[in-house]
Amino acid sequence: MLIRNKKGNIEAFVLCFVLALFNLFGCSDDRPIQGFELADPEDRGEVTDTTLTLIELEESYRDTTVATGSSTILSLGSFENIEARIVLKFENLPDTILVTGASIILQTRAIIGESMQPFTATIHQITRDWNELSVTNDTLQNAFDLNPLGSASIFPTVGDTSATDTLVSIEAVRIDFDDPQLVKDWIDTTSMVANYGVLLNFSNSDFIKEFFSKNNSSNQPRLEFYFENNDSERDTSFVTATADAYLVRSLIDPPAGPLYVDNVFSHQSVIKFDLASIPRESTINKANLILNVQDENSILTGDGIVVQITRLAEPFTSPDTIELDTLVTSIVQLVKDSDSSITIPIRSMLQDWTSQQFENHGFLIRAGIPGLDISRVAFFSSVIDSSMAPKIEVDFTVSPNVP
Amino acid sequence: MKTNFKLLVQILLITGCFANPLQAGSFYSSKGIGLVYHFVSGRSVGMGGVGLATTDNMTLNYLNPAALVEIPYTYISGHFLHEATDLEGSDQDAFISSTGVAGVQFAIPIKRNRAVIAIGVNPYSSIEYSFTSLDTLENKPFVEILSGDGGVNAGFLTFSVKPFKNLYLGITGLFYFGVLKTTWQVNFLTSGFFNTRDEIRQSFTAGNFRVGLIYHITSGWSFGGVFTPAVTLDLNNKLEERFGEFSDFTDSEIEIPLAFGVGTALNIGKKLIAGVDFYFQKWSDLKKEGYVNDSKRIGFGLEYSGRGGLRDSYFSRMAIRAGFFYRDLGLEDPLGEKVTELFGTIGLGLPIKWTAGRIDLALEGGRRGSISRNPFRETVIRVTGSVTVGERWFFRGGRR
Repeated sequence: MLIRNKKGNIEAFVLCFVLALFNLFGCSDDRPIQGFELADPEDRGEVTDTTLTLIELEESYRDTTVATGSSTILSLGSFENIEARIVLKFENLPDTILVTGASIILQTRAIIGESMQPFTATIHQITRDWNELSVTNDTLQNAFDLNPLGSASIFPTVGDTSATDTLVSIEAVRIDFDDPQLVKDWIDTTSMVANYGVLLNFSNSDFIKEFFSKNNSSNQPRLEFYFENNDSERDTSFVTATADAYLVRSLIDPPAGPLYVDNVFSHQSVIKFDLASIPRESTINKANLILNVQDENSILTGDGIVVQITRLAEPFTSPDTIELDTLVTSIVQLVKDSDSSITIPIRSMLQDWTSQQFENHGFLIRAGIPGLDISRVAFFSSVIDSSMAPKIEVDFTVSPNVP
Repeated sequence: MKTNFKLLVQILLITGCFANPLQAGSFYSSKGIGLVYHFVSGRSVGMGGVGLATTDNMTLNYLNPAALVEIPYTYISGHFLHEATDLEGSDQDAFISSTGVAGVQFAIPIKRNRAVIAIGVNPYSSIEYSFTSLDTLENKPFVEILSGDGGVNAGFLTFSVKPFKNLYLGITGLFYFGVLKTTWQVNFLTSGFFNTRDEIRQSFTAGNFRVGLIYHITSGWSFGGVFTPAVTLDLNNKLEERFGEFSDFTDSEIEIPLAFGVGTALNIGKKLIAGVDFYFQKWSDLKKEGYVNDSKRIGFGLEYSGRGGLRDSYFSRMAIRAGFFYRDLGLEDPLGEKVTELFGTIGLGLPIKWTAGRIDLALEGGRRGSISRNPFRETVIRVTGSVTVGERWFFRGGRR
């Protein structure tokens, strides 16, 4: 018994010793060889960078004008050959009051342009029904009564702003009805006059005034009306707009040459780079698309414009047949009015192309928030100035040679 | 309880072999298929790697298939190894360590003392090295790392037979498999960069065979020999990167040249055994840069054991071993300068259970390369542990 126990203890000790050695030595910290002088150079790749400037395709075009009913902005006036008018509809009117006067109240948001001269805004009855999500200048055209129902002077003022240009007190613009008969007809349920709302037109304008639309939680457009209450006293009330939009028209297309992107006229641009200089087996470590802004053909406010880059799924032949790759998330970038150029990270997109996982058909640059306002950005193209043309700055590694 | 314990050890040996394979680190493993791992048996490690002509009833021989014929029971053996290598160059030092399972074998006597069949797997060669450097590209700092790992493994099926009293013969069918990997990494030190990790994987399978014999000249003096013909590994090349992989490369080839070994073992009295082995591999056939010479290995070993019986003390049944070996790796680095190694070994054999189990421990220490002739002088410490466990499974009687 004693011999068997002693032997068993020795067996257990030795096994534990072996396992302890196994675990203990497994925790050593290795120190690699410093430097590659002794390494086979064929086993190493190359760390390098380049700037891609060879453009195979570069085109800017205009698509269908976008409906603006979902925008948070209403624009009125004229600036750089762009005209904007406002359409409003007020449908939730009380039906038991005697209206003695009415006004349309708009809250000012911003000014586009630097004019110091006011223009005149007029109210017109719209004679055909419209839907705010589909109405454009082309669809409504002249479906309004040319006789003005009221007018007001619109001044190039905004309100009080803080040192950081934040609105701290908002200017309210009031346009009075000369005769509130149209509003009375809307209220009178026996009237045959249909409530298609009103159009706000302008004359002699060289700036655009932006107002808050009904899609904001506050400062919405409203119809204020005066009436006599049961005690024959004058009282006021208001209703907010139930539908609104702004209608834009471009008198002259912007000059050809730059690559345009805008919010409302659907200017878009397609670019395709030649990527043959990057080997298939390369890892793209970093890639930035650089676009230089051409100020003279851009219309940018303090809000800037959001641009969106989407990969093309098929070769570009015409705007009508363009096919976008919907499987990959678009890249979004803000262009501020102070930007002279923008840098857009496109590493993943470039990697897909160079590794031939996806065929390179180029990408589309378009508005990120279509219909928001009349902002437009113009980028230099290779046609205008090759030194300012779009380019891609790439950091990449070339893999070692496979034996 | 004891049976469950042994079963657990057996399961650990088998799974450990696949989960944590051996990688022996060396700068000189960066060439070809890496550093060839010379392993005869757990017993032989402590004897300078000598074992081509030595046999006993508890040693599972991995190199000479003829040596298995004396196994009386079903045995499983597994081998663990830890290696620490200190690299000393003319202007820098480095350190590589590795731990892993170095082989497992399962042997079954078909007819006791007449025929044995065995199956197993063990590493044939290993690659483990790493280079690193800090660099910049236009004010963009990055760390570059080049490392290699993998190697050739050999699965085998052995048949050992004793046609005559003094002659043992054996044949092993070999199945080479494995992956040779080279990994190149670039890690940028500033944010906003996607790091690079390119891994070239060369996978292969190939078949081969090995023949061996042992002849007992007298009852205390034996001679052994093995021969393995050359085989070509067809390497299927693949490049794996962080964003995807590419496999449309043409296959390449690498050859494992023929090898042969001879050895002799002599019993000196009842307790002492002395042995000498010579092993040769024709690496000059490779005709690749660095492989100019053939590899030659010569080892000398001694084993002292009281050869005690069941009633004798435990210590009289232990074995004490010592030896040394010299090996010319067949490499020249740089060209014109051979790479050689010289090692001393000591070892212990500890019976677990009389006639049915043993633990073999061995410690090897030595140097590889020369600081005056080669890029690095490597000082290597290697600890090997082998566990051999036997059971009377499939037990049959047979001629003694």
